[in-house]
Amino acid sequence: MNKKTTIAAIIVVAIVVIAAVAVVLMQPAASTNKKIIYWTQIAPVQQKAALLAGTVDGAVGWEPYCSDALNDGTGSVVVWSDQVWPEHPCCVIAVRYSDAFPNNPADNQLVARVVKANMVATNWIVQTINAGSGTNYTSLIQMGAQFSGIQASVVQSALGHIEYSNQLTPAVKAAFANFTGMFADLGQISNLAGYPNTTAFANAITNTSYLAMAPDIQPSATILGSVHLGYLNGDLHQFARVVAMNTSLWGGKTLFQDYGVNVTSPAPYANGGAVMDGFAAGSIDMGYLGCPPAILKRINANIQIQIVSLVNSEGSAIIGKTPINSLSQLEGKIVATPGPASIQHLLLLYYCNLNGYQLKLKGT
Amino acid sequence: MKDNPLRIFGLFNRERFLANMNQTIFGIAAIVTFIAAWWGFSIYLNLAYVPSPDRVVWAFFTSFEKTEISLGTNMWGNILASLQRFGIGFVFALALALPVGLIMGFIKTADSFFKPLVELFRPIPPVAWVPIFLLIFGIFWGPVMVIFLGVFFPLLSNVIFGVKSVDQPLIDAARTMGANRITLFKKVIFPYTIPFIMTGITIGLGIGWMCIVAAEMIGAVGGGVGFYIFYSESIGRYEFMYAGMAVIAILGIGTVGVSHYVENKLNRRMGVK
Repeated sequence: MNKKTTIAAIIVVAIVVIAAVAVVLMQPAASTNKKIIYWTQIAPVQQKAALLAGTVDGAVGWEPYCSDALNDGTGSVVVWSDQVWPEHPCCVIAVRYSDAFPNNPADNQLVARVVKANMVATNWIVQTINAGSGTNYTSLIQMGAQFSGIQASVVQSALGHIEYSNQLTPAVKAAFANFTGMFADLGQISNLAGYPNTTAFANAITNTSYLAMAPDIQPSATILGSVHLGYLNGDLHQFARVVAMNTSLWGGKTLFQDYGVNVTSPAPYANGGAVMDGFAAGSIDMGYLGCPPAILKRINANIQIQIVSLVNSEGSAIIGKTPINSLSQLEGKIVATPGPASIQHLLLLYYCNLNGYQLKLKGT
Repeated sequence: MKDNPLRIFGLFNRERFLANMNQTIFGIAAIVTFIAAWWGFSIYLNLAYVPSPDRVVWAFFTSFEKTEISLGTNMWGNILASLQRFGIGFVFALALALPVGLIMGFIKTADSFFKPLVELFRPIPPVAWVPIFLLIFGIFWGPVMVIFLGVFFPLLSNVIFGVKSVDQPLIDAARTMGANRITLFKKVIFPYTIPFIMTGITIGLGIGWMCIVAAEMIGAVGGGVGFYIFYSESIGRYEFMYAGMAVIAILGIGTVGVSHYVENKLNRRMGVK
């Protein structure tokens, strides 16, 4: 090696070493006055496998994946979401407002009819779950198993943890405002889309007019129009859509068709953020998604949507790898979450703070 | 033609200077055109996911200054995390591909044995392994192994090709002078293969940076630039997402540039160029 090459090599190595030292020194000092629980991002559908593999020690996800891990003993419940936030809203139906849709009374009718069909399907689900047996109950469980790819017994357990309801009550709006405030505290949003406070924003993002129209809407003998509807893959929170799309329950046509709407859907989305991207790309007119990504991307990406119906409340849980069944046992361990934009992540963050734990990304 | 006095000392080459100047001018023109077109589109489309270049530049610098509360680190931390797993994956790939490639190229039996396995696994995109590696190797080693695969196969192929490309007259000449198999390997085969190894490393580095983004999007310890891109997209802060992409581009250009530099130096030293 000649002299020049040696000098060049030394300079390169020196730069790398200096950069590495600088990066290490620039890291914020680790907080030592709080107990720490670590998080990492793993999709709920993969969380049970991660628990089994020992990749993580806990997980926070949605149904049916919580029950899937609990039923075979892989996981144990730390806390159900309704124990932390009773009747907290979760999934919603949102509509995107654009020049194309819904910009006239006929389009508004279509939105109201989708809301109505969802409402009828929700009522059918609630009645069927309450009945607890019979042909309809068997059909419901089979539909859930087929849609989520999970065993029927797991679906049965999961349905016991989800509250299906549609009304956007003041409590629901207050919860939206609370979530928005949490995102602001986390620095994930830096404004409120021009609204003075979280309550004003929560009121603006919800539109109850379609729910108000729904009781007067009757089935239609003809198809009045089409709606592109997005939804999440395998999420039993959005079971009303699955039931409404089933033709055998509603006389050979879907419930949406019964109310005069021809619903088409692209491939199911992986998460609520992707549903919002579907809105932005103009791929869908309406969509089922969790309220947190709806709030986040309404503000940050200025995607002009409004929430027009609740789909479910509750139905999430923090679970530990058996025998872990309390938050204190998760201290210093790793919990999988669907990601910081999810309600499940907020639940874990809130519950950690409530119990004096700091939630920290593993490795930082 | 009278020589420029500076040229005599090798300090100035007019032809090379003019050629480089043209290249530089065209390069700058391409970048300016791209930025102008981007700026125009961002104004015309007025969409959050097509932010203007100045917003991305602002996000780029902000990402280094500001610690992301949810992630507990800033861009420096993410770069360190990515570099760490990239470095480990790369070293592992180099440590395995080099001997295996040399053996496969030099010994026919080894080639016959390993070739079906290599041909079976090589077409599988490294990112296809991400979910299963996450479960098998965990959230730290999983992404590392994806990078390992991304670097390993291009490097291996180049090493094998390098060994097989050694001129037969060179081998014959060495044998005529009494070189045994080990000497032949040490004095002829291995040195001849070094430029091919460097080409493999350069290609592998490029693919490695592509893999890191995909690997970190599925799951990662300590963040990472890929993770940061995914996170920024998930909360709709697209200017920060583009800033993360710019960081990946800079890191990729930097590492491939260093590799090219070393490759050129070695090639010159070995008389290839």
